[in-house]
Amino acid sequence: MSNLDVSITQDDQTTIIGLSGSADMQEANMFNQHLEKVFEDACYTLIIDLSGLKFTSSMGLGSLIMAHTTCKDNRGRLALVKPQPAVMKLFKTTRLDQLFNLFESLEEAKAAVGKD
Amino acid sequence: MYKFEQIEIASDYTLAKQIEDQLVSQAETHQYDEDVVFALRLSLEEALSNAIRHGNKGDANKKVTIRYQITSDIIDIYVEDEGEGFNPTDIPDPTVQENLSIPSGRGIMLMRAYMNKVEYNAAGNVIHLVKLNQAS
Repeated sequence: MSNLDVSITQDDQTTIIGLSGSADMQEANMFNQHLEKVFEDACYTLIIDLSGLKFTSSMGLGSLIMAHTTCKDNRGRLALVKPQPAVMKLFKTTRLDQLFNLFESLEEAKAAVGKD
Repeated sequence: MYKFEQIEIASDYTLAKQIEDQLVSQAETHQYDEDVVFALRLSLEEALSNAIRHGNKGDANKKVTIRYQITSDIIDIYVEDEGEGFNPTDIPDPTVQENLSIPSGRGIMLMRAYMNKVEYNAAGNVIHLVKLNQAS
């Protein structure tokens, strides 16, 4: 049984990925495979909803960084939504809060990535 | 003096995950708070995945040895791989601006941030992790 649930939905030009559970050493690879599929479909405007993500290791952080870089390199945008306090602490500890575009709600993220 | 338990596993993420769950469960039995349990899980993830991926290069014939003691006062863990070791000071600081976009290289700094003590042996193939129960 997987510790990480990944849901992918399309909202106009934006792909919304929901993560729930734990992005640990086993699950980060599975998440990467989902991301590869999204990028194969040329979707580079992404919102990743982290509100259900309780835990991530550095491998999960690496997956988010790769997603950020791929979106940026393809003139897209990545927005991360509502990380739980423990995950936000990881972002601050690693200073990734300086790299990622973080939003408190899905609506705010949609408005931000929808801007030209 | 307290006694260390020892477990030896093949370089396999599923087995590593089972050990991680086992040690986290023991910490929960000793009623460590959720921040300590998070720190322990994170540090085991990093130490075990580094041992398998970087130390043993994913070679399933090479072992990872975990020696540990979990009491109500201290979580004390050694993780040893059969690799050649490395110099942890060779890992660039992942928190400086020019390295923020590099997707790897955060494991050691995270362990250092979340545990009370993180040390390597001289060869660089054994990591020693300590978390104190500061509530006790």
